Amino acid sequence: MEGTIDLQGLLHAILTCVTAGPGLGFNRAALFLADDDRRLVATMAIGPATPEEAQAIWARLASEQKSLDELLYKPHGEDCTSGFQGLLAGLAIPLAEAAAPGGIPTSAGTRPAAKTPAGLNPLAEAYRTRRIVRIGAGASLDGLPPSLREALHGTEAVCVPLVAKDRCIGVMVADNAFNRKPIGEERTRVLQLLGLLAGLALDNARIYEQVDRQAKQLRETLDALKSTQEKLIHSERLATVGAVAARVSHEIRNPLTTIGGFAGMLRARPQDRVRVERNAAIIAEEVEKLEALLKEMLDFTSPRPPTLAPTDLNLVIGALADVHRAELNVENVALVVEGNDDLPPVQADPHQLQRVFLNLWRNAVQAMRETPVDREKVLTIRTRHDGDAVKIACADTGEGIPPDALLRIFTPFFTTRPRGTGLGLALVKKIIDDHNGNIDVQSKPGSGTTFTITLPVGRLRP
Amino acid sequence: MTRILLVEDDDHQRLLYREELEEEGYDVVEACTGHEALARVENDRPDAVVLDINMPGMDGLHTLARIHDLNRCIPVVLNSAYAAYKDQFVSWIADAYVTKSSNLDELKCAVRGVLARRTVS
Repeated sequence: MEGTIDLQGLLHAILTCVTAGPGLGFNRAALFLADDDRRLVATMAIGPATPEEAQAIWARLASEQKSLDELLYKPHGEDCTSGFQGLLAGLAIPLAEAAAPGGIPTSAGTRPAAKTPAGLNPLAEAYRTRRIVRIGAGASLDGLPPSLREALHGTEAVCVPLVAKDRCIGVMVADNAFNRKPIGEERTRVLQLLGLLAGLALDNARIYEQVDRQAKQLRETLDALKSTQEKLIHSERLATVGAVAARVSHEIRNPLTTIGGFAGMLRARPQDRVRVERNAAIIAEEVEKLEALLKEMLDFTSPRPPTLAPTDLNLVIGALADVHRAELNVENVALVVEGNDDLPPVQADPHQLQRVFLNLWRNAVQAMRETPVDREKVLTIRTRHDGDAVKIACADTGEGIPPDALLRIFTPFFTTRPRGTGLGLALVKKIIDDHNGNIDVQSKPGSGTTFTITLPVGRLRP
Repeated sequence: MTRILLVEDDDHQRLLYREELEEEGYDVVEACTGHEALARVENDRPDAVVLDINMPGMDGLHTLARIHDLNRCIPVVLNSAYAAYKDQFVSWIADAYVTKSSNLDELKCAVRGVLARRTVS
């Protein structure tokens, strides 16, 4: 019984022990539990309400011949209470009256229990004194609510306190209203013992219920937190989507305006061969711009994971420099590559690293477009071995990045240029992150910017 | 002949607007940057300005304020791919705001409108 933590099941088990034939064999029993408003509330009762019901139940039980165990472990949902429960339903007895004056001669245990004086509330008395209070047949029960008074009228009954640790948590009432069997000392003693055990068990169950309730509250709080977090993530995503939409719509609108405008001209003057050819060429170029934008967007939104292989960065940079040196020369930019001869290979995706360097170089060229004529435009790439890492520095002699922008240059869709998607450096950062590397930037407005990439020299597979 | 200063950093768009505006019978002078635009306002005395906003260096809104300082009488049509700049209060000193479109009727209409108002006043 003490191990039971389901409160309803426990209440039923206690009452069954008190009323079952193989148990204590009382006709009826009811449990009243103290609530926070200092009231004893009828919580559960077992037993018949009328002599006829009593006859019917006993006849059925006699034919079933159930043991106490069988009676205790009734399947859930089966109606285990009866008429007595209906009589007491909703009853609450105020405990304040327990302090009623008048030296109450109560008795418990081995001493003969005293009959309660007229007008007293024996339940409250048992609760207050934590002793068994006997109700004699014919006792005046003016202190009790009418329904309970009527139910107990003319019968001998006992009120047993349910004590848990140092406090009383309720009262159990048991009687023999129908077979009128006298309640002997022996029965009373056992009942008191049962009251102690029941009190402890009920207390455990209540504590468990409390813990369960708190756990449920915690779970609810956690659920609420989770949903708030999801909402936050969602709105942040929406904000990003909004920024993307604004940026992209602008990036698309410019080429579209040009394409549409020149297409209109083609239609207006189809016979002007020179213009037709020029306009068609312009349209083709603008379409290329749109395609490049689309590619950049797709690369950024659905990047492939890197395919890692031992990679000689000097080779990657050297090959890239050979291909793009001419373009850089057109922009009057001198490309200087200073590769360290002792550079160990790194685990990297050479194609993705090419994208990284190209993006950085393109940025550098743009940064140097507005440099004063007297200043040399130089893009320097240096590689070096540094402990367990390889470092690649890309330094330009351009306009530099303002300090407030420096914090945000890797943020997607952030750009300081009127014609930029704001995805170039974001993609660079993403690729380097995917390589377990690191990218750093140092910039001095007016004199240049240096990006430094650090890639770990991973253990190479044989 | 009515002279329009066209300020636009995109080469293709500058060519497009130039030809369309010339077709309307205007004399078109060009500028690729805000600074160049200010020089043209002083030297070429245009009757109206068509001004792009997103440009490298000094942007269109900044240029607009500087043009206003130089000469309050020259009407300016802002011409941008962004509709959002319309809400920036600097835009309010412009005489018209056109969102870029492949249909150039709105731009031409705006230019005609600001020139007409200028003639009346």
